[in-house]
Amino acid sequence: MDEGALIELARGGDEEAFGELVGRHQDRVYRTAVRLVGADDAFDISQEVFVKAWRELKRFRGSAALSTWLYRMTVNLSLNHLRSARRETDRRERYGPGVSSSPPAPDTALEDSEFTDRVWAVIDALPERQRTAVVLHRFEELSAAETATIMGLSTGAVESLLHRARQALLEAFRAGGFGSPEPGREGGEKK
Amino acid sequence: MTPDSTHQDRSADAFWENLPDRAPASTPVDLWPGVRARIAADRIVPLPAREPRWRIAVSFAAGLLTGLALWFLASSGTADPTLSAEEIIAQDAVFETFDPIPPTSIGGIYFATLTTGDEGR
Repeated sequence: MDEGALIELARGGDEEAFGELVGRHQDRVYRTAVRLVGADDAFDISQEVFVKAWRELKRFRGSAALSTWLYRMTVNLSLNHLRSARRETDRRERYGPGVSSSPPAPDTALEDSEFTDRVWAVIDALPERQRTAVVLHRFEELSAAETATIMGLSTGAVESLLHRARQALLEAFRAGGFGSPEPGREGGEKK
Repeated sequence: MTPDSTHQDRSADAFWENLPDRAPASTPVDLWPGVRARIAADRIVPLPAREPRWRIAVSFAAGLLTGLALWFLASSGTADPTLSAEEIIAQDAVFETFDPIPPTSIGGIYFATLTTGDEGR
């Protein structure tokens, strides 16, 4: 069924139609959440995105694609989650005992996985907006214009963010002693 | 576009292409069952309706008036039930000495006003 028709049915309270929409969009929402907050919290964030979408579906005017609307909610909820997690970490560091890092999972011992983790540690350290632009443009393969719509910025601003992100990543990779990512070393699964 | 910028674009593209992804291609678990359960829970327990502002204002005003009335009654002075008759008479004598009653509170002023015309008591 056409997505517009499903949206109309879901607006009228048809849960099955909404379930169909969840099925169509869950992969992109989940992938974006994993890239922004990591695998541990991505499932909860993704569920929250769809629950929020159900509650606010009447406010969705259809001027943008549903995917754009869902991407925006995913980005906002993920960044809010990261901010509250950061506050919690700050609070613990200030008032509580230091939090020891958890031991690496067995599969991170694999070379590619380790390389991916190191690269993502650097990406995670980017400022929020640069990281969001990288996730949407590079990994979700959205155009600069689509990324700009989701982030509420101009296309030029997104291009500038991507340029600065690339510079920052290059510097961090050089400083980290593993150069820029080499071709053929892709640890993650591509879309 | 200059040859240099074309070169930069290509190099940027190559850079982004070589970044490894940490996300899987699809969700490991279907999200819909969990989402449907949350939606059903919302339906069973409706969100509490917000109290209209005028009702909040009326409640506040009523509370304030009640509080003022209680304070007025408390401060206007009533006979202590634990006092004996002699003690009450002794207190009356003290009050008569300092007539009118010192207006230390709104209740006191009101009481003093009431008793002003009661000089022959």
